[in-house]
Amino acid sequence: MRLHVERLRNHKAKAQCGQMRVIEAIMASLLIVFAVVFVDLFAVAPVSPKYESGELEKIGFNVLHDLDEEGLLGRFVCKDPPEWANLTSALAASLPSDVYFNLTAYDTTGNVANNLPVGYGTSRVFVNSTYVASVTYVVPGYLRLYRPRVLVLQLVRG
Amino acid sequence: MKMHLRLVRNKRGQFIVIAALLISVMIISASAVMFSAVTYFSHERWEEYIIVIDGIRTGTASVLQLSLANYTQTLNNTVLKTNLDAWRQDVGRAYSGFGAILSSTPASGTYSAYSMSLNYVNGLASNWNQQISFSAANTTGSLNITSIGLEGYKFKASVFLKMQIADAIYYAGKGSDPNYLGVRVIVNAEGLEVITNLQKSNFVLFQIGGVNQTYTFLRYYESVSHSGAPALNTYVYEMRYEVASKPGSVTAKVSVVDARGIKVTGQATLTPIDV
Repeated sequence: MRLHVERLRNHKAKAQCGQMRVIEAIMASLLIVFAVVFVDLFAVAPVSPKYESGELEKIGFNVLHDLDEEGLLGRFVCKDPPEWANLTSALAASLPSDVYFNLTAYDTTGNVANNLPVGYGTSRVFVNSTYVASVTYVVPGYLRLYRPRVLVLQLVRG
Repeated sequence: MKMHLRLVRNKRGQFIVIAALLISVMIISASAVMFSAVTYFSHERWEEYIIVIDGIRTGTASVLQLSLANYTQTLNNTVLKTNLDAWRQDVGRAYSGFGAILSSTPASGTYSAYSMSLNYVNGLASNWNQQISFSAANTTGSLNITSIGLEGYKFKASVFLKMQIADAIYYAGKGSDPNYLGVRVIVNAEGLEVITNLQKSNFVLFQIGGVNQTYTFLRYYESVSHSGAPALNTYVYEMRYEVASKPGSVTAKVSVVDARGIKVTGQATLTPIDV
């Protein structure tokens, strides 16, 4: 009888010990997970090329769209003769100062339409940059003249 | 015996470490899988597609605008159809990488808008030589972007210019001062937005009784009532010209071309009111 009681006691103690092990394991796991999350909070990840070019594309499109809404883009690009210098000034004034740009205008047959360069920053800036964003924007014409131009605006952050 | 127990206890400690690591790996893996499942579509180039759609919408509105400008100055009522066809082809070429396919249906028939009846033919409508005259263009675009399976994205584009010849004001000169008559007009764009940036050069025609007049151009916000008539409470343009005496009535004809090149010609017979 005494032996039986002793065995029961041992069994109960072992069972309690096992539960504690499970709780310990869970607590230790949570500690590791929290440590990983905590470290991740302070980690400074490098700028994603996808994110950076996406941001630049948005900036570029918004600038072209705003100029178009104001009725300026058609005048700069589709008027005869076009106002390339004014377009350069308008883009330089509208884009952030650390953003370099290069715009090429094409006619509907794919020929380059701008006889003057429209840009800010040397060609080296574009060659050396890791992320180059590109925005395509089509301007149908100016006043009563349908004379479409396809604008390709390339942007890099300096 | 003691040695054996310590060994067992040590083994149990190792088990806890391994179990903890395994559970941690499981939790982190599950989190990673959930995160990638939730953010799967955010890696799609939605921004780029929205940019393309916005660009095409704005371009279609511009085509409408320049076609209406062309129509009101040349009266060629097929110009919108021709330009929209060309625009459809150019959009397809410019955004070929996206598989952009645009189709347009110019408005046709009678539409009711701005408390007026607009009768469209080939997407263009005009009602001139009235006290309230207008020029309008309207189309419905349908856009497919095959690269993302977008089909039948519909949008509307409309352009509108309205001119109302509001009234004529008689300014009696004191003593030997000359008398003047001022014809006042109100100009609105789509959404009945009041246009306030017009200059004298925008009013390409001002005739009284079929005769061109030399006039002084004034523009101001009118909030004063004259001779009991209710105040206009809007921005007005006034063409003031010299008259010998107060006429019983005048027939005024006015043409305006706004900054977009859209023209409207209005005509009205007015009874001058005293200032």
